[in-house]
Order: sequence, then structure tokens, then C-alpha cells
Amino acid sequence: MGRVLAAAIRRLEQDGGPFDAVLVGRESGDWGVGQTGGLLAEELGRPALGFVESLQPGNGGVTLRRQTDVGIEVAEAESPFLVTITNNEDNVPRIPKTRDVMMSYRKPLQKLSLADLELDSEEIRAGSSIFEVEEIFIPADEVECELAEGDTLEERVDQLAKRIHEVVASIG
Amino acid sequence: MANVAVCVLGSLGYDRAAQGAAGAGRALAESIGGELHALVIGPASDDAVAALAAVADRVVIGANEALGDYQPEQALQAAQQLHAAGGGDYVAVLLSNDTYSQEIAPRLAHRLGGSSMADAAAIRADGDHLLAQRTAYGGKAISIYRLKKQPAVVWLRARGFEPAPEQPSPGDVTNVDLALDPPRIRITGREVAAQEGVRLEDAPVIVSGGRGLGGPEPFQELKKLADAIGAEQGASRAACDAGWVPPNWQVGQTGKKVAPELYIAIAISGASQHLLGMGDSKVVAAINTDADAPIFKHCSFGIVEDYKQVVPLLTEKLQAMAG
Repeated sequence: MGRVLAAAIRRLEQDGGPFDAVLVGRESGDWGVGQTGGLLAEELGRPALGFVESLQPGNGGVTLRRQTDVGIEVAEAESPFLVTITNNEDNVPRIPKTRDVMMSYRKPLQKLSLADLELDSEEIRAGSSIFEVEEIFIPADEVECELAEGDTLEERVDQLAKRIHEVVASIG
Repeated sequence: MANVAVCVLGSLGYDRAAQGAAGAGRALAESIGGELHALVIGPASDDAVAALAAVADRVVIGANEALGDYQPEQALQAAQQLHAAGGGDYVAVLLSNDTYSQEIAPRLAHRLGGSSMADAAAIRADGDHLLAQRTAYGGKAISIYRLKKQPAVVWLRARGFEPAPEQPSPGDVTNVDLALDPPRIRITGREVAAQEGVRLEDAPVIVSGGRGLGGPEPFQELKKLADAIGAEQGASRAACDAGWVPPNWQVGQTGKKVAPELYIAIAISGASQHLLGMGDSKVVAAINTDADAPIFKHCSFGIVEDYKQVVPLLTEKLQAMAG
């Protein structure tokens, strides 16, 4: 996938030079492996940063903010670069106005085949050469939940408190 | 001979995640009759180096001062050069699940001509290939991938693996000087979120709040509960996305993967994406008004009640028990 995307991006760049920024989602909602951004950056030979929540042009470059284990990191990037985008409270999709939906039909839509990209090889057609899904199954991991019982809220919460205290005390 | 490498960031030290990654690496190395090497990106403390030497057959450190301050482009260059310095004959290069390792892994795989995989909960060798198990469809399914190229560069759900056992004699430690280009994306600032106590990933007890809390204020109430039992605070994605609490509180598929002794889910329905982040918890307790909420199928005990009624009373009782 990274190779196909890289070839398509290079094709589009033949006219106008490199894109300042390539934006990729951090991971897909189904398989969620989250490898495309990094692999694409390598195919394009561009620097990359993951988990970015906002981009702001300025100082001759772009200022990026991203989410990490330790908190927010701020980075300066010179174009061209690639980032993977993560969710935060600001970058939720907006519902387009009807007029914008109508206008979108007039936008050019360019279709590129593998042959157009000179990628029509056995290897590409066979899917990923890197990994394949060997097996997929639904885990049976439901457990029996013991619900607090009692006639009054006081009794039920008391039971819950005792259970929690038991576990916490066992940790020491 | 084929070996296994575990790639750790010197600045993070030999934490529980690194211990788990090394443990997974040792088990894999034994299964193929190879050695376990530790590749260390950046300067590490003496304690961390000694701990790594105790569990690995060889430790290779890229101790350039510049690597002390993490920059993705330089860390990648370092990992690639350390891979060569360690001998380069690795069937697998294993990383932990911190943000930095996650972003390095696929790019390193590409540079080494190998396969990449993310968030593996189990790995094993099968002939020339590595099989990696992870979840798919937001935690609803489990998938096993066959990684077809060597090395398999995999970041692991590292805290789920047993720490590596110490070896009879410590491994050799080599320092190498790496050639690093200036980074083209430079991290210039860190707004480290105020964090009291231990990191969420290492916390033995976690009190998490979700969408059902309805706003930021109730997290204050949950803090009192957390303090009463020495817990850290977490949250579901809904609460983080709404801006009620910082993003680094998020537990779930796109947040932190935690494995505490006790996880208390308050006003969290238990979407599969959330379960994915806390499914390794030893004991789960839930407080929710909805008896049909999925969280009740994944907890040991719970109470079907409004948190507003429960939490203050529960806090009071636990304070009394602790006192």
C-alpha cells in the first residue's frame, strides 16, 4: 500500500512539485495496524512525525503539536514532510453544506491504475509482500460479573467497598 | 546463526515495558536457539545498562549525547546503525509500546527490508517467518499475522509479557559512536502533563471515568476516590476527546494499554475499543447505571447505580478502611 500511495503522490507532484505536507490517519478502524504512514514516509524519503493533532504554518516552516505518552510535544518541520493525524476535540469532521456537496461533483477526479503508476507487477497484485493474515477469530472472554446486592444503597456500596479494599490490600 | 534483538530507548531505561519486551525476546531466542541482543538508542543510566546486561547476551549502546533528546529521524538512524553493529542477523527486532517505539517500528522495518507489525500480544517463530497475534476490529476479533520478511520489526504490548530472566553471566556491553544527520523535523518543546505518582501504564490501581460523567467536574470527585486507594486516574476516549481531561489519560485502542491489578471503570459503557486498552487488567470493577452495558461482561464485580450516588459514599468507606 505504501508503494502504491508513494507512486500516486509522485505522479501528482510531477506538475506542481512536492506537496508541502502529506497527512495520513494514525490507523484504520478495522485492522488498526497503523503502519501505512511510516511506510509511506520511507517510500517517499521524507521525514515524518506520528500522532499529530494540529499543524500551524509560521517561521518559514510548520509548527506541529502531537500527543505522546508524556504529554504534548511541539515540533518544527520544513516541507516536505509526512504526519499521521490523531483525534482530538478540534479535528472532528464537519458536515458539509448541501451546496458544497453539489460543488464537489465538479471537482476533477483522476483515476490511476497500477499500469499508469508502472506498478503492475505480480508482487503488487498478490497483496502485501510484508505480512498476511494467517488466522482470525472471535475471542470468548466474557466473565461472570458479581453485582453488589442489598436492600439499600448503603449496603450495596459497602459490599463494593469491601471488594475493592480486598484487592487493594492484597497489592500491599 | 539467527538472533533476536530488543530495541530500547536509553532515556526510558529498563522499565516494565522494556523488561517485557526483553522477556518476549528471550523466549523467542531460546525457541530458535539464538542469542538475545539489546540495542540501546541513546545514553542510558548505569543501572539500566547493568539490568540489560544481566538479561541479554550482548548489549550495544549508541550513546551519542544527541540521542538523549528524542528526535524521530535520529532515533531511526540510530536503530538502523545499531542493528548493523549488533551483527544484523536478527529474525526479529522487538520494541516496546511507548509512542516513540510505535512511530519508529514501521520505518525501521522498511529500512531493514523486513516486515513490520504493531501491538503484538504474542509472538512465535514458524520456520523462517514470525507469527504475531494482535486484536483487530477494535478488539472484537483476534488475528494472527504471518510476517514474511526478515527481520520482523514488531512493537509489543510489552507489559503483558513476563520480564526477561537473568542469565548466569552478564552479556558483553559495547558502546558505538553513531553518525547522525540533523533532524528535518525537530521536536522543540514538551508540555509534559502534570503527573503525580507513577505513569498510568505502571499504575497498580486505576480509576477511570467515561462519557457518562457528562463533564470535567466529576473527575474531581473521582480523584478523591483514587487518592483514597492510591490509584492513578484514566479516562475513556469520549472523555478525552471532549476535552474534559488531557489526552494522555486515554485508555483504549488509540490510547494507553494498561494492565493494573485493579481497574475501576466509572460511567464507562465498555466499547470494544476501550476494552482493548484495559483488557489485561487482573481485576475489573464497574460502576454504571446501565445493567446491559458491555463493561459488565468484562468485570469481576460491579454495581448498577448512578456514580453520583456511589462515588462519595464509596470514597468515604474506603478512606475509613484505609485509616
